[in-house]
Amino acid sequence: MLTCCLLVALAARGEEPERPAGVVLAVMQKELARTLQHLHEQESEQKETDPVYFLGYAVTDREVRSAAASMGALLDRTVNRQRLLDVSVRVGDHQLDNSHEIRGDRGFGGGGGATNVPLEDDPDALQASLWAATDEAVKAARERFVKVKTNKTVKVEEEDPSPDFSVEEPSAHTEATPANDLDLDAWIARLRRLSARFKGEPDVLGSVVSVNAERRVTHFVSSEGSRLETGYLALRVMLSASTKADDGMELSRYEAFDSHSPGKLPDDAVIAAAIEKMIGELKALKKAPVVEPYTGPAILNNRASAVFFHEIFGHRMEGHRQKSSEEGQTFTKKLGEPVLPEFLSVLDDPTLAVFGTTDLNGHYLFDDEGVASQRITLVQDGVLKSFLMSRSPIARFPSSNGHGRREPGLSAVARQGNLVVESHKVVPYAELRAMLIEACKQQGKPYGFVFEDISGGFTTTQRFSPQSFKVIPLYVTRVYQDGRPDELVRGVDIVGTPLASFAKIVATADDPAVFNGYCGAESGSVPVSAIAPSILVSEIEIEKKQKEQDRPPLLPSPLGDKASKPGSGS
Amino acid sequence: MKLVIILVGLAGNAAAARAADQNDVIFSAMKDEMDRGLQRLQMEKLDRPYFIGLTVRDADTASTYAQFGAVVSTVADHARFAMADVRVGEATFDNTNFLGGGFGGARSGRVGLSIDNDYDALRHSLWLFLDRLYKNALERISVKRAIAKTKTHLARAPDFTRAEPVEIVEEPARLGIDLGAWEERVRQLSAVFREFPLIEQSGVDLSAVALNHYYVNTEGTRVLRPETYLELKAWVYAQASDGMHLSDSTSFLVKRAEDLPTAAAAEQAMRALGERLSKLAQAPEIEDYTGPVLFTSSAAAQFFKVLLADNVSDPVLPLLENDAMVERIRGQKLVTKIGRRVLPLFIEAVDDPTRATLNDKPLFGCYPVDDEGVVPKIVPIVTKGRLSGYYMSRTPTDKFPASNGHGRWVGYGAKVAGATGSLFLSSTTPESYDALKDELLDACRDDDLEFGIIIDELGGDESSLASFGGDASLPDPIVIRKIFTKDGHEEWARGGSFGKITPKLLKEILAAADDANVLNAIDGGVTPLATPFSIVAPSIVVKELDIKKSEGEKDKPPLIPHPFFARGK
Repeated sequence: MLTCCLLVALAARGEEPERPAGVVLAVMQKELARTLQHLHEQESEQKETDPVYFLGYAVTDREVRSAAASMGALLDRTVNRQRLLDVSVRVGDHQLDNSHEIRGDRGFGGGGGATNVPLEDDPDALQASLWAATDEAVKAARERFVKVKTNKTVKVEEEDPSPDFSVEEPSAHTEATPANDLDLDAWIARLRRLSARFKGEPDVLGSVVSVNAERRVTHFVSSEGSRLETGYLALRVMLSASTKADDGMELSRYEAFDSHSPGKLPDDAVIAAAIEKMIGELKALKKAPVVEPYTGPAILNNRASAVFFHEIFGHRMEGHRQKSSEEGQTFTKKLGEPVLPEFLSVLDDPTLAVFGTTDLNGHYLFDDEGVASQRITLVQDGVLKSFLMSRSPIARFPSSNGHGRREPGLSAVARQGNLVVESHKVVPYAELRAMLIEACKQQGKPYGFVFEDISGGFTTTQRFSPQSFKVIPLYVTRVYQDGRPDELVRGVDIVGTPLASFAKIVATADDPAVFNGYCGAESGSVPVSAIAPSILVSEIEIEKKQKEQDRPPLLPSPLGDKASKPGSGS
Repeated sequence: MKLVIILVGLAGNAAAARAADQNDVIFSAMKDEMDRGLQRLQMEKLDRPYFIGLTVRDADTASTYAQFGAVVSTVADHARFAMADVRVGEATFDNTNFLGGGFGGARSGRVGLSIDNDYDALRHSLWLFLDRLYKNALERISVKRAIAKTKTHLARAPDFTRAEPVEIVEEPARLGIDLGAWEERVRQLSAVFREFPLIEQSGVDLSAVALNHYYVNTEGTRVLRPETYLELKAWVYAQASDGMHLSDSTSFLVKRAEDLPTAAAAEQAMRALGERLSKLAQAPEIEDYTGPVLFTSSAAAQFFKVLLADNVSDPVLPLLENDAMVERIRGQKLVTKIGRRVLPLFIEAVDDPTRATLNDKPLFGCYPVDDEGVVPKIVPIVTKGRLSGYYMSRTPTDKFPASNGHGRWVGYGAKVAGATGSLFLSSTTPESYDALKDELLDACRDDDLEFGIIIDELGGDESSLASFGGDASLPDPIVIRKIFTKDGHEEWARGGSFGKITPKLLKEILAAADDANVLNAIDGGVTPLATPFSIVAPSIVVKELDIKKSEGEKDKPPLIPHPFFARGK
């Protein structure tokens, strides 16, 4: 890990051979310099006390090739490229600027929205686009700064007097991003073939097999002297299928394969096997009993545990949540205190590109504020050490650790990259299962639960709502203490409060695994990974899932309904 | 009785065979699933469907957009989706035509379909879609029955009427476009604005849609109506020296690629647009004005679109849970005024969707069959100044029991309602345009006004004028031409807007010319939800209108000079 960080640091100092900067970066620098010169002249002429002290341009070049098929037929084919410009303007100074929270204003997110700019490297057209967007952004920033100052005088003193923007060293790095050369037409033929498998399954109501390849190159320049051109290629094959139980409950299964190169995507045999598994699971789920509310021991299998940590723990580690007056701040005052069992450590390391042989979605070298990503230990032996930081400082953390992330058009906030949960109290999985049965016996419970797959969850970190969470498991089995075979169940949600839940983790298995996904929050959707071992929890609370009202279809699937084929006279 | 009107089917070449294959697969999947639904959809002992109408829209779209000489985006897409009308109960009282029952409302919606001509995949999607709509129809009729019981007086027209089945199947439309050539075209046209230092921002867009409207219903109707639209559009933006935002656009909307303007003609149009806004940016701001106004060119047609066409559309008043909603739904509609004066005696209005062209110019409001499978009729809307009809879909009103073939998807596919086809306005006592101008000046002299006003173009997106109900308002004029009484010279002014107006203004028309200004436009724009229409109107003089100094935004001029135009300075 250290090696990675060193490489990045070297690159930032420009000591690595670099690609020549392209037209986009050159135009961005030119217009940035011209703008700053004009603004500084005007500001000194007008004796402006609140100057533009930071200006940043990001141009994101996004090229998507994707297709989706269902029931053997193509649903969609997309080839699209766009270049999106974000202009970031800060008025005032690092201590207080236009980005400052306006208390009582619950407006969403922030960020001025991205502008589409020319796809072609035409310097005049690009520069004209930058100019128009800058004019609007500077005017909007000045206007907002007036509101910030007014708000500050009328409200009580803030709990965290940290500055609005950290001081960072400029970064310089350019790298080549692999071309997006996914053979879409070959994939379309495969998607048609693979998705046709569901035609033989009248119980599967919805099913989609899709492929998505996105190449993203980000160009970044700032008035601090940063100059970056970085990018990635992200590929994903996604399977989804759903059915309805007789009582109307929607049941669904998903599977995704993520990679950084087309060669690492799964072959037909792997996808076909995943489809067979999904079909088998959906059929079993349709017949599975609905569970009653329950409190007792449970295992979260590795990938489910990874999602659990991402949702319930990771989001509460995001720096800006420790500062906002709207936030519940579960962990803000717990630095240096135990927050997890002492055998657990948690870190976030975007510099990791792979885990074992699995490509990691949450890998990046520089964040969206141009700061080099860093491996950061959040919890060491159960004790809270740090937070994920963007350039919005909080008490005791004046600097970014390269976790400021966003989707084009929104303002960056601290987000997770690759969240890694490490344990030194590990047992083989079989033993963890034996421990689950033992725990049932001790607690006098006839059974415990094993959560195989979690689709995601909801967690409220904000102050005006209770600090609770709910996660939506998709595949859950009941494990009996008397040796009866395991039983698949449906209709379960896990609920709880974060601190209490973490305290109940009693052991982990030796089987860390990766969950690759896309995480949505106030700064948009960003690719993330979470890596965790299976965990045994001494007590988990589950409640009955809310059920949809509509019954299954009244008529049988037309594909199996002999009475309705054409020519039958109906 | 089955009325076969057109059946186009070319055999012998591969394209025609493919087209026939597409039609076969789509029609059989639609018909088989619809028939099965009609015969067998029934939940417990509840109502069964008495009618199903099923629409599939298959659309090829393409567009490319450039700014200042460089392409910003190019998108091509093929999409297919279904919409359906599932009716339970009976024609006199069914699950439709009412507002109430909470937020759920009627779930019509759309469902995406496979873009392959795959019978199984299409049927599978249609099966689930009709199942969902049938269940929703049952919910809706039970809520509607409960609401109807609370109404003491309930003499309503039926919810639906019979229509003759028709079969009109044409060859599907295809979009054969060389996107590379299109890109080169918009790149060049958008570079024209490099000649105009006052134009701060600009863009040129070329879009097209080839859409195939498939429709079947359980009465035996079968329709494939292919339509192709292409639009070349440019917009420009400038700021006047006082900071007022000004924008203008120009558009060529055609049905065939070969009807797009030539490179030279298009370039000339770009230049004219650049010159016009540059000139306008330097024109003075309008002062408040009250007096006669002459509407000509597209502004004349837009005037009748807003004040007349929209107010004789969607005439049905649904059963309301909350009767206080009447005002909001009816707004300023004229539909209660059948037989009463709405225009001066000398103005006639007729809607005729059967006319394909006017003076060789295609009319966009021409269609062989409407979106409910009804062949359009010529509808007299205003006769000798009196309202004689309005646009009817298959939902009757107390005045008209049947559709007149104007049932069309409106509001971006929100619903089918009576809507404009091609509305023709004319005067029984027309005068020349010059005489009309004299009328304007005479009216000004009568009012002791130094000048009168001529409006050629109103703002708003010409190609996608959509009617959203509520209060009518005329879009702001772009160029205001002041014409002076003493010598007839003209001066430009900018930044005016019309105050609140009502359809009563129609009666204030003093005179109309013998010209025919054609507005071709598309509700929903050049998209798969396109519903095109035409308004053909003479230039007119309105006796008195308020034009107020616009309260529109004024902003500081750009902080920094434009990087291209500032170069070398």
